[in-house]
Amino acid sequence: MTRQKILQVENLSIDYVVLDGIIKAVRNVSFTIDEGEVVCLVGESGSGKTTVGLAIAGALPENAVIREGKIIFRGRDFLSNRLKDKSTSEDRIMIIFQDPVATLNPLFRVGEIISDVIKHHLKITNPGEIREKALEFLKAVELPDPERVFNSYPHELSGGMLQRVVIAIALSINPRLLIADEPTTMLDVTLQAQILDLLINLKKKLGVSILFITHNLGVAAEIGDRIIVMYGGEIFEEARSEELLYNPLHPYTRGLLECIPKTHIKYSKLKSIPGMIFDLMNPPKGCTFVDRCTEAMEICRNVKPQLVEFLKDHRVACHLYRLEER
Amino acid sequence: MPVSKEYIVKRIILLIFVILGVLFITFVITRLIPARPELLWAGPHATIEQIERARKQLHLDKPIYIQFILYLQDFLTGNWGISWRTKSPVIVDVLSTLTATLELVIIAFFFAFIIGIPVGVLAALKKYSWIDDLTRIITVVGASIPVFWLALIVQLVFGSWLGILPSAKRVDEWIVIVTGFKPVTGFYLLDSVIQGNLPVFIDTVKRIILPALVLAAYPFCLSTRMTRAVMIEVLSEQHVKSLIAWGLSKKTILFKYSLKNTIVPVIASLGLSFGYTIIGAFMVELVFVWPGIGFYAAMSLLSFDYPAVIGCVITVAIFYSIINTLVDMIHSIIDPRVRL
Amino acid sequence: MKRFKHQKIILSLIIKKPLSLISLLIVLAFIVLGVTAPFIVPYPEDAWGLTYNVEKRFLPPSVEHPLGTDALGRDLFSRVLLGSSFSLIIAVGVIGLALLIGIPVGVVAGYYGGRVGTLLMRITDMFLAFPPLLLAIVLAATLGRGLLNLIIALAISWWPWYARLVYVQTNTVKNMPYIDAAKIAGLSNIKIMGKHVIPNALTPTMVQAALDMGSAILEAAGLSFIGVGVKPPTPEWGLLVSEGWQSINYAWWIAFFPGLAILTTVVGFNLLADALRESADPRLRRTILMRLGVKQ
Repeated sequence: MTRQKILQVENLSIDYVVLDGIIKAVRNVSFTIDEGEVVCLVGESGSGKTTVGLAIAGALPENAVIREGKIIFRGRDFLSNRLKDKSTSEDRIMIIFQDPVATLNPLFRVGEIISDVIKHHLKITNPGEIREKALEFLKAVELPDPERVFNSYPHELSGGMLQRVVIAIALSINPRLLIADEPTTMLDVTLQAQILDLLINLKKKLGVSILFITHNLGVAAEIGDRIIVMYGGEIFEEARSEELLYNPLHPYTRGLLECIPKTHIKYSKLKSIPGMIFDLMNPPKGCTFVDRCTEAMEICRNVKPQLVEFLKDHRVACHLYRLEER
Repeated sequence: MPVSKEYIVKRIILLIFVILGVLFITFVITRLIPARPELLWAGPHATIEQIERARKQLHLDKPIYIQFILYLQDFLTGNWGISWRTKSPVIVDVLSTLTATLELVIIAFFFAFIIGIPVGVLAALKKYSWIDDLTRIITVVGASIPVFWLALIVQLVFGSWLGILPSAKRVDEWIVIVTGFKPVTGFYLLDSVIQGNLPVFIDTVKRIILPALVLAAYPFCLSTRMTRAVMIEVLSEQHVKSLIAWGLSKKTILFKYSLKNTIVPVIASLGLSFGYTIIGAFMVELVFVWPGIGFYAAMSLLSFDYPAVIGCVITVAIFYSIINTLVDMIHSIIDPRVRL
Repeated sequence: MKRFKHQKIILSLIIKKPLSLISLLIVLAFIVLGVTAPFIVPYPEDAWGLTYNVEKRFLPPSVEHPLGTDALGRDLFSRVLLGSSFSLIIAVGVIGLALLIGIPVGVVAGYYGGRVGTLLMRITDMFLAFPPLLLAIVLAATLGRGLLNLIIALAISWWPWYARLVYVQTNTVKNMPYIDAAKIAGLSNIKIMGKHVIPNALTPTMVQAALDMGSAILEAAGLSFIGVGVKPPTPEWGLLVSEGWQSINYAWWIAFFPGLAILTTVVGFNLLADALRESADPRLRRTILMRLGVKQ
């Protein structure tokens, strides 16, 4: 079964212009998302995962510059004709953010915001119809008493409820791709699981593709069909979830997996990867992970490893895995 | 949206405590700091009997805490002393000046905010353009002008040199006599409209323009700068970024959403603006011979009429507290988070 | 190292914008003139108001008297120049005294909290219930005219703002981990306050205070204008304007030039304040840098 590719990112490089210079936040990132697929971007802070997500959603901050690359969504290059060519709501990529409390304007009722989004994208003008549509989605995200939520101000709702509202807003216009930028990080653990379940259910029901951004490999394993591991603005490894979890190739990925607390072993020591991320303004010439890598070799310092498909559907960028040696 | 009754009651109780605080501090300053308060009270050229009478009036022969209680009682019963400059009770003098000041301050505020908010929004949207730079220079300079000096210069240029506008008093007495104008509310603009008295209305408008504009200068600069700063801050907030990411039109994001976020704190700052403006009125009214509380206070200060000064100070402070309470209530109506 | 770099950037930002540079120059000139004026005024006796000269009354600006002469025939330039000394003394005095009261109140209220803190802040709030300057007016009217009384009156209406600011800062600093560390290490409360709380809570307050000098000058002039400031013939700018008022219709310069001096000085302080606020805000700083074309 070959599924349609809904999104292709090719050679994307993004810089941030800041006070002391230029941060090369994303460098040469390429990947694809199939229709109905959940892809997870995993990495620690500074890995560029959020920047990639914002770029795809067309919501980069002012000081970000897309140096090169293509973002092709539903067959059309998104970067060359952005903004203009979003004639239908299906051409709109929606995004949900980390902090649900900050996401919604505190001075407006929830219903007002969702109505405006629906009105704008679905070109509905009848207030009754808009309201019905809004309530339908507030119900779809399993909010109790959608009527009350519709008439509430954000500060009257809990963080978990607000994140559901945000999901409802994002999905209300029936987008084909949803970017979820760490939507569970700010929530309690029990709520995290609920929101993840909700996203999976909605994905099945609505057939929407999801790019799920997280720093938590455990969460990624739970929700993702495929996982992309990023580090310092580059992709280090990419594979189907089970493959990546049971057969991690990159030393960094292995390190990340060891960091997940194991509940079945008592008194195990929590592990972490020693060292800090390199200076993004002056990325090293070779592999960017070399200073923290337990298996660093001479070549790693001088030659940048290419992302190669070492196993089937399993790409990795590390000198330990070279095609010619296979 | 109705604010809860509890909130209003709470605010009013708080207001009473604030006013008590104001009266307490005034008591300390006027009765405890001077070595012989009765000397100040009786005025600079008082006779021994007058001083003795002032001593009785101030209850200085009684213990301090009884003095304070009697002071509160005198305040509540309107026993504020006699102004020795005008020879009439201070409370009568003060209350008769209030509407003149209020009329002037309201017009000044109207100018200041009606122009200030849009200019501030424009400056924020065109951040770091020449418009923004120009606004910045105008508002910084405007906030640095001594208001009494501005009043003098404006009066000199427009009143004396160019002779465009009359620049003293509220209305020409001759016009009042000839047309038989009788103020009812004390707001001359309103009264002349109600009575259909066109000559008085035109004369009043002419005379209020210069002092109102001078008085508006400072609150205008304040509101413009504040609007600009808040707008820039709001535009960088996540909830605005989300709306942009969700693809709403720029018009909706700016004028429906961000503008409301901007105006709320600007309105919340109205009270302080009012405070600055009413103090500015002391000087502006003095220069323009505007018979409001500021003119009365300034004249009393210049002639060392102490009871009159204290009456004005307490009245203005209480007025300021009331305005602040009202502003808080308005704030709670437009910002759902404040409602308690 | 990092801190140093930061300050250098702020300084370069201020100097690179012409407006900020001008404001810096105005403030420096004001301070230099304020200190040296008593020694360099062309007509010292006129400046201090010790003489009068009937023949020279109301002379318009000329080479001999660049700003003309006043109603008593005194050289206005000398008086305005010496006025800068008085404004400087008032500004430093008011702000200094206000800090002297406000900082201890704020620190004690913020650090100890509880009943003492509540009481202190309630008293502060009582002072803040008066509109700005009104309290200074009653105090000045009660104490009588004079330079010292003016400074005291203004400072007493001023300190609550600093007390609030310090209180908020202290509250923030108090909850920092290093304060707990110091407590565990057994430092006394006084030592912790002196060594850790005050230095850390004070920076924003000191910056604010320095920038408030313009307002202090402006408000002092206002008080003098309505007759509760300094005593004549002190050449204080507000009083000079008031003196020129009576003759403004035939000798405009007497009221005009002292007012211009106030305006220029206060503009200097306020523009500098504006520039500092912007350069201290990282988001704004970034945009300014981009606009200035600083190497990216």
